[in-house]
Amino acid sequence: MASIGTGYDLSVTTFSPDGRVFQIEYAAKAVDNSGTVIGIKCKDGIVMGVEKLITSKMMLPGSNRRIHSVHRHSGMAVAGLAADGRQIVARAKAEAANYESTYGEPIPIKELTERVASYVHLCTLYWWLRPFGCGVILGGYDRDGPQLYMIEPSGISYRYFGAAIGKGKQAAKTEIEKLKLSEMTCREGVLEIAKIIYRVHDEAKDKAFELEMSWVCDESKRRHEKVPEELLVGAKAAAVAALEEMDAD
Amino acid sequence: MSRGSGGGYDRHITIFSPEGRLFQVEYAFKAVKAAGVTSIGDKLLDPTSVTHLFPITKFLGLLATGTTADARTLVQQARNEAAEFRFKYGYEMPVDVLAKWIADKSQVYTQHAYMRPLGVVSMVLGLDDEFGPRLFKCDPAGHFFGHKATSAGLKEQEAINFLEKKMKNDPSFSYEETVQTAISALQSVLQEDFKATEIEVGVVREGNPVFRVLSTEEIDEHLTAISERD
Repeated sequence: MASIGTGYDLSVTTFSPDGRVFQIEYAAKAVDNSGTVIGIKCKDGIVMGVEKLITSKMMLPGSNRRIHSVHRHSGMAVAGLAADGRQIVARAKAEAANYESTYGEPIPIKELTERVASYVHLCTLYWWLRPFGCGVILGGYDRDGPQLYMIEPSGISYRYFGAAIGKGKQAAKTEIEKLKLSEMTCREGVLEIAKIIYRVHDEAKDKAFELEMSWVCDESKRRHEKVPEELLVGAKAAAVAALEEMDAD
Repeated sequence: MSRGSGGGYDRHITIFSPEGRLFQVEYAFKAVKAAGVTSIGDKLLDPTSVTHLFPITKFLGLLATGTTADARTLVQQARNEAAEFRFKYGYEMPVDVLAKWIADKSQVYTQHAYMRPLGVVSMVLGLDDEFGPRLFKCDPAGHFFGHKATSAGLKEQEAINFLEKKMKNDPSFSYEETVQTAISALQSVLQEDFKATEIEVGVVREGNPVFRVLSTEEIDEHLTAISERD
């Protein structure tokens, strides 16, 4: 359903006659064109994975990071315009540091999300700014346990059990719904996310992609880190095998 | 419906149309209705994080109808303002002062071109020291009025009609009757029974002036009482 804004879509400070702000909706489209980003909340932590579409064979693997640590206990996976994403990450890091220096403890994930969401929303209020063209999945582990949030370009944020944004988000969400997240450990979650990303990757439209994953869980001592190399390699192998098995059917 | 012949500019920023209308403000009202019901159907969403009821201070609550993102910004600012008021003047910010502040801020957005109006209708509630329980509704145009009962959102007109019938003779409801009237109003306009987990109710009452969101069990009790009464 693509409705043309025709004149009401030129500025973020303009409402259309049916009460929509088209600029914000267009910003969301930028997210939909990006590689899939998934996050799930397992019983002992959060796992996030990104389908990094490789645009050039000359690129070094491991470059163009899409998952960033915000604080010891939290990380963000960004979908959409990468440069915009860096701004959001920088702001999140600043908020986290500021909170810790004022209150003397690591920022609660809910508070961090609210601050970042506020900042994203701010850029939808002034005509001299444009909305961020990226969506963020924020995962962290604090006193209230592991939490997963998603922030959209409109500044809306909700807490999720599982979330997906980007190209394959519909297919990914269907797959995530099948999982029993509350009984899964993060180790198992890593395998599942790898399988889902491989499955929703569109071989026809996009050629190569690199899987980037991170977690924050009991096993990582509640620190946000890249998934350990052997686990990642194992997950990729399992995902490829599952895909071949599915193709063979 | 004839649109103004002001060359279309009146629809992009908040300036007057030739008939003297502010189209952008009118469209902001539409945004409140367009926001509709939040996507609770999403199984992956944690429903406890979806709320339209926000405590501003311990004693003041705000129900935001409309764009969620705009509502959160408003809530943040209102909380800040209420805290500063308490600090500066030494007593809790009264309901009408908060409502007026929200309305004044909204009016600025209708006059300054650099910011758009927020697509939120806020209902502020609290217990006033002198006047007892008070309810105010503020809209994107910068209006605010005190109400005995009111509604906002997609089916607001039907809800208001229902409430007018109930409140016609200026009855004095007890606490239970007040809560049940509000819930019945929702039931009648949505025309379907809902479970206790599908609505949220916030109250302030004399004797306990703290703004409180009711638990699912309490809402269940009220729902049962309503169905027994009918």
